[in-house]
Amino acid sequence: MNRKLLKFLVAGLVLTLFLGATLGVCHGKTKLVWAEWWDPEWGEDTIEWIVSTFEEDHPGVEVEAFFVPHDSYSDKLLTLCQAGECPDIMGMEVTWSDAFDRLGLLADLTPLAASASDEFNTQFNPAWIINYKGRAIMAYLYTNSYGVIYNVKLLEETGLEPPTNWEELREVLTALYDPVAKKWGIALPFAMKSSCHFMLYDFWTRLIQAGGHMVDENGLARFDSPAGVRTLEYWKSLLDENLVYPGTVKGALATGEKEFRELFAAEQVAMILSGPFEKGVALERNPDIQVAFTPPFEDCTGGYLLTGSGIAISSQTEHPELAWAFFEHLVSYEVATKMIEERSLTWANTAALGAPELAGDPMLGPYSEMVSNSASRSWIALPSLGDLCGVIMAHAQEYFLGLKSAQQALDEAAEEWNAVVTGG
Amino acid sequence: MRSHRQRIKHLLLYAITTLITLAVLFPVIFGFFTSFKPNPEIFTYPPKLLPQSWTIESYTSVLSQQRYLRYFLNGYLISISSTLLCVFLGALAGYGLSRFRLPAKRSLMLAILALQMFPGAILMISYFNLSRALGIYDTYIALVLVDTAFALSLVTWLLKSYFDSIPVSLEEAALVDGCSRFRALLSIVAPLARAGFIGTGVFAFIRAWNEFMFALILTKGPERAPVTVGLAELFGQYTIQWNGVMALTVIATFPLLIVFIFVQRYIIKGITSGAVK
Amino acid sequence: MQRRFRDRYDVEGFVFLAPALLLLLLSIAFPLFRVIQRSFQEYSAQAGAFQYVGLKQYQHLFSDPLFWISVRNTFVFTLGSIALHLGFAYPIALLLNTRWPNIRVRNFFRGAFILPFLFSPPAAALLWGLLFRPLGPLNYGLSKLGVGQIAFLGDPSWALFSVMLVNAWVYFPLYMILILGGLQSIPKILYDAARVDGANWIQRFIYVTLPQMRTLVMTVILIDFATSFIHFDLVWTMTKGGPLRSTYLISFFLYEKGLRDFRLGYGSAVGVVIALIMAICISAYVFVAIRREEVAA
Repeated sequence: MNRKLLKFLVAGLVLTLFLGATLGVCHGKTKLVWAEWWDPEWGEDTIEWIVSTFEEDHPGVEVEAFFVPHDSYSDKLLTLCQAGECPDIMGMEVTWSDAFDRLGLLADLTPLAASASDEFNTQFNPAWIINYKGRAIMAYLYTNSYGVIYNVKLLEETGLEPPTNWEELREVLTALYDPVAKKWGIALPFAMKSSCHFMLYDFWTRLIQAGGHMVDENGLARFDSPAGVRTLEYWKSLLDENLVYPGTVKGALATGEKEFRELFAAEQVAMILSGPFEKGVALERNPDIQVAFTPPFEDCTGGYLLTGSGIAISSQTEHPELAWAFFEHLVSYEVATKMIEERSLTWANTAALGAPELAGDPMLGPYSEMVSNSASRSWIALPSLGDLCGVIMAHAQEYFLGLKSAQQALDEAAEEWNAVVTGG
Repeated sequence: MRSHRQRIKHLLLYAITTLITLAVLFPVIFGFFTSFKPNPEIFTYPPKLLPQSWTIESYTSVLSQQRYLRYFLNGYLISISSTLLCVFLGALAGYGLSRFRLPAKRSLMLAILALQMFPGAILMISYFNLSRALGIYDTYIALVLVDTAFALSLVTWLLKSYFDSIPVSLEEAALVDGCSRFRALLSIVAPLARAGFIGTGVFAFIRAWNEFMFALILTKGPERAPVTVGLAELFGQYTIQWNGVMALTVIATFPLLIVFIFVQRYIIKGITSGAVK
Repeated sequence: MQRRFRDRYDVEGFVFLAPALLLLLLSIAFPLFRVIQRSFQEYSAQAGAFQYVGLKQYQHLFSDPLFWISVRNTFVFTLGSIALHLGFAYPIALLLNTRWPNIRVRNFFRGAFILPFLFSPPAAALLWGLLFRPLGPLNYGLSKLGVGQIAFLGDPSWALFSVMLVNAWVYFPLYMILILGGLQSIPKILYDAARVDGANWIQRFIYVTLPQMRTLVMTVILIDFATSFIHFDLVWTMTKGGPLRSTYLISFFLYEKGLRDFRLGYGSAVGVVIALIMAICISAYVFVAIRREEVAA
């Protein structure tokens, strides 16, 4: 019996090998490969629409959208690229950009941007191109900033006004806390995850308003300042006063970033701290939910952290101009309006963002105020950004658990931070 | 003839096993019902076992996509092939180590084991480049070979120890009669080690079935990728399809469970025609 | 001379070994050399190639406190997992191995016990993540019993135990099957002989079952050690190493420091060190265990 199975197996393997080798269809068209992780967020239909509208304008070009899940995106792309199989244009996070750049995989966008179309030049903010070590390595498709978002209905029911600053937030949270029904006003994911959630959404954002700076021009730590202490102390005070889901400090360290969104969408908490895209995410789960940004806050100063995600063009591509043309298509007015309307993404197109009807939008109205504040600041590309985020999170957790004082935690974090930035 | 004492023993047996089963299966049951809940309901308080509003949206969204059916096909194909290959090679090697006197056997065995002693992740790049060089990138063969290689050391060790427990005397009679070693393995030893084959087969199968990293790296898309890659699609940047993950698990697990129950009959046969002289 | 070799050893055995060895050599051993080579190199962006830097990667590695934290966590995780796996698998295998009045019922239970093993690591991690939530089912049950809430995945003093528990739940069925297979190949005649000698079930267990199962259990422990030490998927999806790095395993260190940012030289060094640690532990175990067996024989 074993022999028969063996024969089947060998036959099967040979057949498979043969089939595998004969894969590969010939094209008459120019092919552009676009690597992206946005299928689950935007839906396949949207991706297809983006591709087909570009192909209509560019006959003779075929775009292949190549999906890779976000969590494994950089692993897969780095592997492909170092072997010379890089896609022509690929989705890129600032967090990953250093690794790609170090391997020389990213094309400098400056010459391509220099010969951009007029439409592009009038509708794209130059600040949305990220420079690193003297080269333009990526460009945003959409920007982000993080503020307090609230569930309109829930606040109305309790008769509370949305808070306009951090102390009012504290008051609202106190009013929202219901120990019997186990309802809290806000969920903050302070659990250690490998993404940069805490550093970006909670720490850096609050730090700016505490009047502090995260880094200096060289990327070295400046957050171990009184402003940094003020930031940490604020968050800890919320935890200690039992204002954060689900209660005890240690429990709060268990809420992950994916979960806190579900809690908001399930209306278990009335507020979260996140970006404009949160509306799209919440609506997907709960079509009846109404969300809005609180008015822009101010502490010692106003201002918010500006981040974004976008694309980069491979240095190996044979069609850099075509890739750039596709990028222009991605940030065109048509695509921008669709993404803003359907996904509540603050797409990188000034004309679309400046549309008059958006001023009254409960999300995008306050958002444009948030980002246009003079104290708002952009993050920067740094080496091993993943590690740096982990440094901030770990030391903040030590402080939250009462193992260290705020200043101590920040000093140690700064030391580790600088070691990573300089050591590499 | 059921004595009173025997009846109590049986009752105790049932009771204890049922208790343990409930404890072990509670998460499974919870996961099963979760697949029928809409996502927001999973996070309400107080938590409920049964769904308030039953929905099969998680199942329909998975089953309606052709891609997922392909993922399943690929998964089964790759896992079954790799299991057969692994158990076959492992049986040969295990038999060789068990029945023959070989130089430096202990070191050889340790060397075989040593090949398991590192996270496969560091081979990621090498395998990718190798697969492209050999022209087997994005083919079934690449994954079958990788999965086999990763399970082979342990399967060999396991089968060797199962063979060790089967007395050599049983084969000696056949060998004296002029039977070849290979036939001896096939007709005498293998049937007795059936339970061992099941165990190692299960080990190899699940190892291949759950392989993610290399499945992701060595394939381009749904053409050749197994279920693990399909599962990863449900983990978005901002959200996870919690009920979808559970639904996919139920769909994936069901056939496996049925096969396992079916295969169990071989173990029964193994007992009754067992190693009794 | 040749004759003596052929007398002492059975060359035919190599024929049986050859296919497996070939696959292993080609697929693992050779790439491994490359990895060892890499561990002495560093990628230089200017040169666009890897350059030799001696022991630099190793020095960097050993001076990182996170490395030592992860080594400690990994040992705790591995040894705890082995204990839990055997602790669940052995008794349950014994239960399933006794004479059942109804074979169909027994088979039903055996099918039931294998269910956890059919969960893929991300799915199991997700499922238990839901169960472990501060306001999830487990804590709900605990609060109803009057015991306080436990932040299974949020409390640094609980997290490692929680992930070990999930690891045990997912993988014990495999060891149960392996042990069951071993129990079933114990010749019945040994038990009958013991019964004739007047041994009760405890004595039969100690004097027949345990000795017969020794090699298998040793192999199982070996396998468990090898797989648990480099464990990644399940725990990573559950905690990503937190909170406070209490569940930070050595495979995480390899992934985060070496692979994620594509520092292949450093990653290779980490891989080599992991392999060395495991090799030392396993060799020690095997030599001690085999020597004992030879003495016993």
